[in-house]
Amino acid sequence: MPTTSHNQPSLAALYQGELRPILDELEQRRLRARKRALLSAAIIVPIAIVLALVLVRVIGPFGLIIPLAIGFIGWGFLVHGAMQEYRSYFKSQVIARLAKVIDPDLSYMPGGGISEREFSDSEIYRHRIDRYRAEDRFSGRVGATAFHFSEVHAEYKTTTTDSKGNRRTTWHTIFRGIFFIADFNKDFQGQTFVLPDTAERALGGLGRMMQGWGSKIDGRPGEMVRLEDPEFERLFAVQSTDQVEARYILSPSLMERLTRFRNEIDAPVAIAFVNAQIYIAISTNKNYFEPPALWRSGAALGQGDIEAYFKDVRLAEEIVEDLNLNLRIWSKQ
Amino acid sequence: MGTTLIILTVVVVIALVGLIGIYNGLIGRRNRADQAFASIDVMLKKRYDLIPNLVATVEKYMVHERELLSELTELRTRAVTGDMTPAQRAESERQIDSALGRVMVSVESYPDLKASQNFLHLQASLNEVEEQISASRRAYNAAVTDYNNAIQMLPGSLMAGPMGLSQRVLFEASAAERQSVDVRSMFQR
Repeated sequence: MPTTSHNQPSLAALYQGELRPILDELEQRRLRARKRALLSAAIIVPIAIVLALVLVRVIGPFGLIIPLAIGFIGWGFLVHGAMQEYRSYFKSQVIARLAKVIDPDLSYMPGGGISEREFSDSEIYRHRIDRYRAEDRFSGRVGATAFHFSEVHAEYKTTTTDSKGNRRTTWHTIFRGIFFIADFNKDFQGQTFVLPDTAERALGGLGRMMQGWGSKIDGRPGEMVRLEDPEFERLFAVQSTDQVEARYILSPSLMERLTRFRNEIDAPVAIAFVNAQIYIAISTNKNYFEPPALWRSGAALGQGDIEAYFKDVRLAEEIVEDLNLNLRIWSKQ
Repeated sequence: MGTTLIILTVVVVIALVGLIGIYNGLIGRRNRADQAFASIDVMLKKRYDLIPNLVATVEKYMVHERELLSELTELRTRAVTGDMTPAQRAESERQIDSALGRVMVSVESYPDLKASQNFLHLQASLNEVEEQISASRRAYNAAVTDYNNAIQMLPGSLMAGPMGLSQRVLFEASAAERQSVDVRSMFQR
């Protein structure tokens, strides 16, 4: 089983050897994309201005808007193409290589992702989904534990109509971050949810009472499960269809490991144990596995940057190790 | 006159609804504790079912531990058939725990047995059952704590006496169990 300490030297070697020319090429592409963006702006802006001035004379103030809008869209289109090329080079050359360092069998699909079906099967988020996007899918196996994860952004929309009859659509995020699914090491039939505990932390005992009502309103199956670990209880609220099974899954050691994991990640974490799988949703605003911004100043990616990307790619292995999901001493092998 | 009567009726109705609520709450908690207790029994039975298989598998290899195995078999038979008080029951479980533990330690000196597929499978099943037993004990403790809180705190404490509800005892690891764990972890460090 690969570990960080084992991989660190090979990561340095990878950086010094294989990655160096790739990163230089990446930087070249970034500068080229940036140049293209500036150049196209330099061409489009004067033309648009001249056109606008002409059109204003002909059809009035409305003529100002059309060329500027078209110019802006055209510019965006050109930049987008260059940006896509730059991104896909980064993903296929850098991220894919890092994945191979961790485990030759770890597969990476930049365009793939956790399906909407899998996402909603977890029942962690029960809101109706109107727009769903997922990218950067990794899948692999540590010992007997198969896993896959990707970035996910799920949203719903609300439409309001104001007094003048104008319809306005607003998009609200249901979940954005990393969604991880792995085979769990114990068999179970019911559904158990470990959700971030917002009510109890803010309101104490009263919050605990409200959790009880909330779960009924929310409609998620099961009832509240109160566990012994106070630190764990402070961070999470547990809900399950089976009181005994919830404790079978959440052994004292797993509770401790989850507490440590949550504190290390330092972001809201929601977990579901459903269909013999563990689903972990880590909410973050960071866009993972992306190249440095086009307008970033400074030199090519250094070894420190590569280590940071490496850490992100290794997330799944880390979860499996941290939660000891590969411990197979029970009936399920 | 009319308004006083209405107010009085309202007060009586509210008091009645409150009483019924408390009563049902207490009974619900008691039943949940009973149910949790029964779930421990289910898991213990699963363990009883595994013991004959375990004995059958290991006795072919274990030549020096005949006595230990027959002790385990006897303990199991007594646990399955005998009508025991809860205290005797706890004692019998403790003995089974300890006998099983000793069998598992003895296995270490039989590499062939340790590697046998049959034994590995049994060991996994035993681990599974142990984990289930521990989970149901924890569930029982949670249910009993909830019940004890309810009958000791206001307003439940006012009704617990007349309803004949008394405090229940939590499951705890016996002193011997705790000690054996300590010793083992000390050696491992």
